[in-house]
Amino acid sequence: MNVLSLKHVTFHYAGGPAVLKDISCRFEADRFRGIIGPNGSGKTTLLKVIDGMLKPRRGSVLVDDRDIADVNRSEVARMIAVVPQETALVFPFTVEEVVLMGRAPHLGRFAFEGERDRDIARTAMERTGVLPFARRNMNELSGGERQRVLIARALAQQPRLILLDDPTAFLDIKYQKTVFDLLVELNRDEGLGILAVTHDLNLAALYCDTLVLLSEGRINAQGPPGEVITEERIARVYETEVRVEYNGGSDRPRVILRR
Amino acid sequence: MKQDVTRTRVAAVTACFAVLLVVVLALSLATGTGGVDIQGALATVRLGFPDDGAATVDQVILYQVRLPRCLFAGIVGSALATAGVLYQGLLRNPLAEPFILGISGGAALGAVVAVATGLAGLFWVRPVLSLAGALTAMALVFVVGRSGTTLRPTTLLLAGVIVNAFFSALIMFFISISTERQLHDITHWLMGNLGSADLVDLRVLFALLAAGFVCAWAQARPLNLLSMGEETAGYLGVNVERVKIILFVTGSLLTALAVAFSGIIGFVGLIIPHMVRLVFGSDHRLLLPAACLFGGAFLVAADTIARSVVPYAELPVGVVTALCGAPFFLYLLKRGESRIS
Repeated sequence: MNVLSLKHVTFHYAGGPAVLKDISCRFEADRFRGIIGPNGSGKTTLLKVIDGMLKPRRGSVLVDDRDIADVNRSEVARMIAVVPQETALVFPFTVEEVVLMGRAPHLGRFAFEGERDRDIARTAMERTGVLPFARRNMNELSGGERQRVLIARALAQQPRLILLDDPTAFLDIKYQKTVFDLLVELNRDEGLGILAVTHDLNLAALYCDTLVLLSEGRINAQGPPGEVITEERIARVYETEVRVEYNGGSDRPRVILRR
Repeated sequence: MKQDVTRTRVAAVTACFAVLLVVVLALSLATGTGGVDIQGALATVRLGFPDDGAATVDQVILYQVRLPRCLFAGIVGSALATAGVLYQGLLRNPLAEPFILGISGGAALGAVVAVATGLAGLFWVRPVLSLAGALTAMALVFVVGRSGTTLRPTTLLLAGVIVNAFFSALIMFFISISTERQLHDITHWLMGNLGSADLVDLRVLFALLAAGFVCAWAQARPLNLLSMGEETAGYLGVNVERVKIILFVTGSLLTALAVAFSGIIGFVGLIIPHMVRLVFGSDHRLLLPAACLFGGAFLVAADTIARSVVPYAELPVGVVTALCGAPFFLYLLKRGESRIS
């Protein structure tokens, strides 16, 4: 898989109003993209549509040239990994078990994880720094640790593209930086495509190659952070007055709230 | 420290539980108020069962009374424990158990109707009616619990509770118009008992249990992924809606199978999965076979106690399962808690 493209995608939940309206865009599987937008602008729904979990009412999602609706779910999971916002575990599973679940789309129904799968999981845990607590239970970990376990599971899937739903929600600045540094590394060193929904405009501007700004289910703007994040546009879309600054010749804008 | 779940480990643990089941079955065969003790049982087994009608009393007790009953207990226990694992995984609720979705209410109503109409004396009427009741409840819950194309756990639970409540009301009605003798029969059935072993064809029952277990085992990995949430399971390639239907149907049929013939034997389907989980972890590839075999062994043991602790009388086996199960479960729960903190 090299390109994932959305063609005139419209989506609404059963009986509800349209959440996504005529969305068209392309995601190359080697870029670091951010999706920003106010609450309720359709960001999370867009992620689910991109992954094929939700079917567009009109339009289509194409993986290269194939409609994702025609692709077997396991095959999708081998190309696209999703890191959800939070995972509520009802029964106790260890970190290692959770990461190994990322191997599921690669295994036959009755197959057990082999040495190779364990190696891949171990590498993924090493990469995200969760190897030291591989044998601990998921529900003993802090929010930042859990988030990195979920990223490790996504890596164990060996996908081409990772979708993240607000990966830094509930995280302090140290973990915010840890997570985004890690994503940049994965993107740069391994050519992994990253598509992250985030509420943090500054993180998005600082790390992403390009941004998609959603507003009321439509793409309001897309392009490099400097083009998307402007004082007028943020004020209009978020209905909030802000100042946008550039520090020391950087092309990365910074959004500052005004009182 | 927990060990990896590998094919070898699953095979080893399964073998251990199989041995446990066989040992419990053997002990149970040699226990009872009929006078056959371990030595007697061994001697009798060595002789086999004669075809010429010249069986001794010991042989009759062993082969025609105890053996079917032990095997029946094993099958019912296995079915309930397996159904418990499936329901807990499907509903993602640790408190789920085989009777939570109304199947028991349906089965009970069928049985009560059989008794109240005086037809229960007829050979097959009671199990057939209670099986019909169980299947009706299952269909009702499925139809009510399904919204559009999705099976929502919370809706299923509510549908189950309501179906159970409705059937309870009907049961109360039938109880209120029944005679004292019928009342005794009804209560006895409601508390669960394995005395109808001689009425059932154990080979058919075993075949159904085996088929149910294979269906369940085929969903072991999807069950693991489901415990991370339906969404996550979907992201990892599981066809969530199809898996939920398979889990619901398999769990419900296993439950129906158990309750139709043995009444409502509580606790097995709730605590056995938890006991195994606390010791061996939550991976369903290990949990399913272990819980299935352990559930069988547990119910055989409980039934042995139920029929032998009071001389020449029988306790309802449900009383024994709860009395033994609850404290042991509490112990495991406390132990698991202290290990975590």
